[in-house]
Amino acid sequence: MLTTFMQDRAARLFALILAGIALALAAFVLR
Amino acid sequence: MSSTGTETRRPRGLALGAFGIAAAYLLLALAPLGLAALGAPQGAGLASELGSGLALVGFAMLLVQFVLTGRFRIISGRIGIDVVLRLHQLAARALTVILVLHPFVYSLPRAVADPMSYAASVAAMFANPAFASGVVAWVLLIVLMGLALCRRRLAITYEAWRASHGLLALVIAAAGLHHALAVGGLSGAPAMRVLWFVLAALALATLVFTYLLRPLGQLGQPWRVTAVRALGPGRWLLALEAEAGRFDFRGGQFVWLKIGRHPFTLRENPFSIVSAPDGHRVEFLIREAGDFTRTIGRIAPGSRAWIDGPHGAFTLDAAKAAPRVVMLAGGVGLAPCLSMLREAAAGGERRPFHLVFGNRSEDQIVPREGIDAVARSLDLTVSLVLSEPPSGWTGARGQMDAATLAPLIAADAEGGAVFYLCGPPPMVTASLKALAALGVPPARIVTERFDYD
Repeated sequence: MLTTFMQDRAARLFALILAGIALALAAFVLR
Repeated sequence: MSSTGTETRRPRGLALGAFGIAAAYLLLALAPLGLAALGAPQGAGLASELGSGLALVGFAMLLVQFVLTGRFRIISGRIGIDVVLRLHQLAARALTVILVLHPFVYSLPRAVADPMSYAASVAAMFANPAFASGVVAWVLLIVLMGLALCRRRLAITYEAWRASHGLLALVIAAAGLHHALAVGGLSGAPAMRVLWFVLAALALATLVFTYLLRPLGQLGQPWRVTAVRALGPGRWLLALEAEAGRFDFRGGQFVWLKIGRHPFTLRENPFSIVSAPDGHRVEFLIREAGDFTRTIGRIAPGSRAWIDGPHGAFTLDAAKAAPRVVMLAGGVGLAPCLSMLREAAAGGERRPFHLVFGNRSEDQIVPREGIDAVARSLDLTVSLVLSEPPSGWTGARGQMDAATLAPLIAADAEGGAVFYLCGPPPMVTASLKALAALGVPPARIVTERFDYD
């Protein structure tokens, strides 16, 4: 299922964005 | 948006690639959080900081949602508008979770130590008149998301849903903006207020462009319906001719189509073009499915039509260097594939092409004469697949899954082919699995689908 999900271009793009948001939130909370 | 030749050239310098989109999205969605980070922590603990952070990110994402629906070529030019709209749907889920949860996060540490006091503090927050606009936005966001996810199961027309979606989104954005400015602890700073207004202005500008400026532009390039022809059970061919100007597109692209006296309507549907580019005419292969497509047969030749497009990156440009090209099409997902094949034939392509066309029954294989004609002028192999074949059927049998496809396309997969997939979501998903099993890397797969939810 993950393979199919990651073959979806939008899903790959969104995973990248979500990772960026999670990192930024972590940096914000821990600043 | 008009669709004259000057505007339909393939976007180059102005269009963003996938990383550009991700970077631009993060820049906008994280701007309020970044600005808040410049200030000192409020000293109210990690949970409170996380609650505020989630609110800032979630609401910025909500405002960016508007921009994603604007069909701007600078955003969709290189990655395809179906990817942008899918991004809108995926981001909607994430921001809804973020915004719905954020009120419960501020005093979360108390939830373990003293659940009753935690519940009381959350209840007090929801009952606080100062938070009323936030509560309104919170409730309406849940309603909007519920409607979007259950649209097909509810007995509402596409136009009614689209109007309610836009209106609810507008009210949520306005109430959310009020909430952020009125009670957002981090939103009080003048710079933050300016940033919220800029993001809200971007969202509003998208609505004005979509519902006012684009239709105004379309008035300058009316289209006329020249033919409506039944091709098979629930399958129609709709032909249009431009009444003014040229219309240039690439094989495989699609447009948003409106039929009616004027372009100021919410009744607008995306259709892939099935014809080859010729500057003045377009043809669509349409399956009766929704409340608009079921009325196709009643459209009178001579009716006015309005087009927004062309859109989409589902073109042969994605296979420029490929030694061979395979198209896996299901049902009317054939349309963009046939358009690309016709364009390739007109351009004198010499590469081998392979069309695998899946349907349920034999009478759904349309337009048969169109497939035969293109096969005569291209090095094209056609594999027909039926899940419910008649007796005596000599083609392939089954679904468009690994079991059916492997014997048909194994040689193509090994031969470095680029694969184009277009069809109903279950077919695309099954075909993607088949390609993964054959070891075809994602870089050699191009998909297009609209029906996600």
